[in-house]
Amino acid sequence: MSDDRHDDGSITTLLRAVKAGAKDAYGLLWAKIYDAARRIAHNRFRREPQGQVLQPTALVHEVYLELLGNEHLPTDNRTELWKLLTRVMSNYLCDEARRRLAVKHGGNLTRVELPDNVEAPGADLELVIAAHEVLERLESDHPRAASAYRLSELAGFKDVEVGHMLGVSERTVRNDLAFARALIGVARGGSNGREGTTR
Amino acid sequence: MDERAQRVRDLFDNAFGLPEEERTAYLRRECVHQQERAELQYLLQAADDPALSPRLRAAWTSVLDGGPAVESVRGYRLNRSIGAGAMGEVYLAELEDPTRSHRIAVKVLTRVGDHPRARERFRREVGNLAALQHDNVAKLLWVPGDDEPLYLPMEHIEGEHFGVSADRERSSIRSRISLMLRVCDGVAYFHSKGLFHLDLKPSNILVDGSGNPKVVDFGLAKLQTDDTGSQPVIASGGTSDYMSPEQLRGEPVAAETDVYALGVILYQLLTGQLPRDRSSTCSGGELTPPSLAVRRWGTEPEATARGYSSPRRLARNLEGDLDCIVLHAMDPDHSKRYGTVVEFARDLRDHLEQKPVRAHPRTLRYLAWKFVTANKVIVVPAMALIAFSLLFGAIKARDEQRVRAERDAAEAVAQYLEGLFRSADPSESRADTTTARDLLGMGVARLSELNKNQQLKARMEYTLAGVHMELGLYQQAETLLADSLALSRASGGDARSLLPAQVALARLKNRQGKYLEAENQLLQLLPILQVRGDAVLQAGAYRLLATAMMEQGRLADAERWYRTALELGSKKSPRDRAAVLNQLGLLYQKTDRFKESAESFLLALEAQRAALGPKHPDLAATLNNLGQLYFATGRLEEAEPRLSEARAIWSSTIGEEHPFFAELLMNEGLLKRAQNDPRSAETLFSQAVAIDTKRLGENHPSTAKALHNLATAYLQQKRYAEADASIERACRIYEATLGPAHPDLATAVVVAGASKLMQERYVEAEERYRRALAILEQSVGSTHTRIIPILTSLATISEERGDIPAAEEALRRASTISTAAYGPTSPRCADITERLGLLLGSNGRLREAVDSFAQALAVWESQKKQGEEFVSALLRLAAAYSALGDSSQADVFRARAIKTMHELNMSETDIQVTLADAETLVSMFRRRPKPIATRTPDR
Repeated sequence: MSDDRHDDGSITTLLRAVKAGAKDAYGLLWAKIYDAARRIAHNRFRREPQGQVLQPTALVHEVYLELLGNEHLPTDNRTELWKLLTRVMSNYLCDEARRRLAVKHGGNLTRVELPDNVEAPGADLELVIAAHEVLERLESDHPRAASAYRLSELAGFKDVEVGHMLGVSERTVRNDLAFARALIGVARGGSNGREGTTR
Repeated sequence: MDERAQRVRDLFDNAFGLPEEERTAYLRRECVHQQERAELQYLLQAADDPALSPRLRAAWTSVLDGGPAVESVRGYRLNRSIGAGAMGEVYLAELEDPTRSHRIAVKVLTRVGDHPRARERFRREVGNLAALQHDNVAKLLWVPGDDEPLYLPMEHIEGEHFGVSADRERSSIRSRISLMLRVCDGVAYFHSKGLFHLDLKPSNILVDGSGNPKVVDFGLAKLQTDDTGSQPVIASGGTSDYMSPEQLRGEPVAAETDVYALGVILYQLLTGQLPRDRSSTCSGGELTPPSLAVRRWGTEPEATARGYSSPRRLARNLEGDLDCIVLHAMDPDHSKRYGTVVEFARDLRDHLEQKPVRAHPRTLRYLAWKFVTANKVIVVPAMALIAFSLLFGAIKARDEQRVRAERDAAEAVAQYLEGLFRSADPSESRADTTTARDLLGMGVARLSELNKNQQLKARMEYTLAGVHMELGLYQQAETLLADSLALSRASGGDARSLLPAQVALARLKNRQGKYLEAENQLLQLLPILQVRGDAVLQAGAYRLLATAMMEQGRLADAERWYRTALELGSKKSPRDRAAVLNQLGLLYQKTDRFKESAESFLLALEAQRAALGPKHPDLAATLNNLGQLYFATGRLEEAEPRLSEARAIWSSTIGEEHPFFAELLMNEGLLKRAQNDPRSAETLFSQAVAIDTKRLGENHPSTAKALHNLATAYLQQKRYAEADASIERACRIYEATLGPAHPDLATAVVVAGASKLMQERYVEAEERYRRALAILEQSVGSTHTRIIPILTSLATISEERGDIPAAEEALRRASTISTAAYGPTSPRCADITERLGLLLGSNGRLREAVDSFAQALAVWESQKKQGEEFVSALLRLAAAYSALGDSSQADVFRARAIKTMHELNMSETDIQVTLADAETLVSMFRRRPKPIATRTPDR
């Protein structure tokens, strides 16, 4: 398989190639998305003086727009694209969290013992890293739940819409979300910073 | 999929769906091992945790908090945090190049937003800073580029906070002052380049190993502003000990603010204490001078620890010059402080050189002492001689006046009264109206003294009438004028002598709104004026005639007469010329010639300022008119200062009960309404109504206008009963004074309709709107743009009543008129097109709705700046596509909408609300629920 077969620049072509099983098409698409996320995030961080942050959902949608440009995406490719976008986003945010933790602790990642109910300074960042790892593990056993969570949390789709995209009922979506969150929660030992049993 | 994993999932799903009590039983039943049950219990516990979901959401968001992590800048790797400031954290950074070693401080601006405006400001402010260099200010090393994150690279200073070393080394007063002077030099240098620090404090001044002080964080205060203001936002969490009173109050800051801070720093440097009683300082209370402050020490060790011999001696050294310098720098009134750091430093230097210090009162004793200590010559100015001669002059003038008064009693009384009234004429002085009215009362009472001299009395009454008119007391003015005329006729006055009073009467009629009467009267006078009258009087009469015509709507005629008046009177009286220009300005505005209107007003202002000075009521009148012109043409920011200036002048001259003041109040009210402050607008309009009703009566168009505006203010606050009452009254007056086919009446009727609409009384609303439509069609024609809002309102009403064809017809008609008048790319057309789209979409005609929305979107896209209407247009189009089933297209438009909302810095809550609203549109367009697909879950 030569590159030019699936790199005519169009997302639709790339997605088709991925569906057909082309591994390098997948890698190419992944790289495109990751690169776009990184670039847009670096160029367009915006923050209200009152303390607002660039939301992941906003970033995802900007990446979506940039990728597609003027291209019209056929509806049957839509879900695949969003699933991939949100997966890459999860990855990017995890990487970013790792980078920040490194700077905060001066390159030292060892955790500090804290009494109960005291927030470690990097607690949120560690939660994101844990969440991403859980979601990646989920890809093998419960890929739909992982997708549902990412579509909901990172792209802001409502339960109804997620159901449409994944072809299940709203109730199933809610169960998926609850399951994914529960797994993340267990991985972090609930809402206090103690290590819990993981799977 | 793994068998086990599926099992866990199924168990979870089932248990999750069960109520709490049944879960335990279910798990005990279904789970094979203890371990499995425990695992599920952990999962369920986590799923039930209400804090988990929000925490996760917050966590994902927090990753991007404050911009991307800054790890290194231009080859300097950020190593460790050395402090946190208001704007972000400061890190120590070292060159990554192993062959060279250099350390710098990097301040990462995490709390300053990184959007285009902030970037621009950053570039500007930091650019100014980077070019400057001074030994006593920490240097900004370079300006980060646009592609870099927001940070500040500064020279790293290893040193102690200001004052610490002085105490440790037990420095003398002299050396402390020298240290202070170096800091002042640095600050002064930056001031000379226009940069203020605004956050000076000992922790911002570091003294390095060689004893050199350096100020850090200069000029950064401006980076903390929010987008709207131009004043620095005071950093919370920082010490306010060094902030000046005006800074704490949030008032504008300048060089004196830094002077204040330096004063406090000096105080602390000399006494080791912070000035006490901060609160009383702010309200102008007593501040303990440094010399007294050190007396508090009491014990020797405190003083010697700082290097002083004893507290008493220290106090003596601080008394006098240094006390004065410090207190002068710290004066709560910033206008009393040293104006610049240079002056502050000069006094300090002068003190060191034994010269007199400007902060110290220049008593003979002080100067003498300085003379003794510094051996210089003192000069005493001779003021007394000058004062004496002035006094002498005043006595002489009064003598002459007294002599003259004795000559002719009657003449003198008249002159005296006239003089009195001239001083009472609010345009001649700033006497407040109460005093003027007192004089008036006195004047009227004294008239009886003049009964013997009819002509004199007539003249007096004429003068008094004029004053009454200026004060807005029109009833009394009318009586006096009538009497004056009667007296003049009775005493055999010729036609010419009657003219001034007759013209004055016409003027009064104009003021009272009796325009037709005024016109007739003036037309009758014209022949006499042209033959017998002087040019000024003639010009005045022409002007009044023109005004009467203008107010009756005959604008072409009015313009001709104004021009004649202008030609005739321009050389003689600048005041009259300005009055004509003023009126022309109003005329031009009525005929939509806004540029000429503004020009006229500005010319009038110029003439008035030159001839009458800055506080003349005539000036205020022109300012008022200019203000309302700016408002009418949408230039709100320019309107406000003009109206304020007019208010200031009129308030202290003609008073706040004058009909002119009512006009001003109306304009101010309109401004407030435009600024979405209906409560203030209401107050202003009510005041105007009160004045108008009292001074002009029930049948004056101005009263109607005021009531009309009041009604809209009530409507904005949803006070329907009051709104209805006001607007009905207004309509009655309009009809009585302007006739049944006047556009102003139509506008009032529309307000009445709007009120009913807001109360959802559709039948009554429609009735009124149709009436307004009929009036307008009759007066301005059926293709005039003024009809558009009425048509759209009628469309709304029809839609509410279910008459879709009527609604569509109205909207299409509105669209036609709008396109013809404004062009197809005007936002006004887009609004109507969108309304049409909504109507079509809600009634199953989705394709047509898409077309309409797309048309409207095209208009918004062609605008220079994309705002909220653009977002709405995108979302509407997305909703229509969604309803049609084309989710891909819907996605694209929705994504663009989300992107734009973020570019507009809308808050997350607002974004969610907007998206939710769009969702409801979708269901509205869909009408029937989509069947939910059920498929087997994938493996």
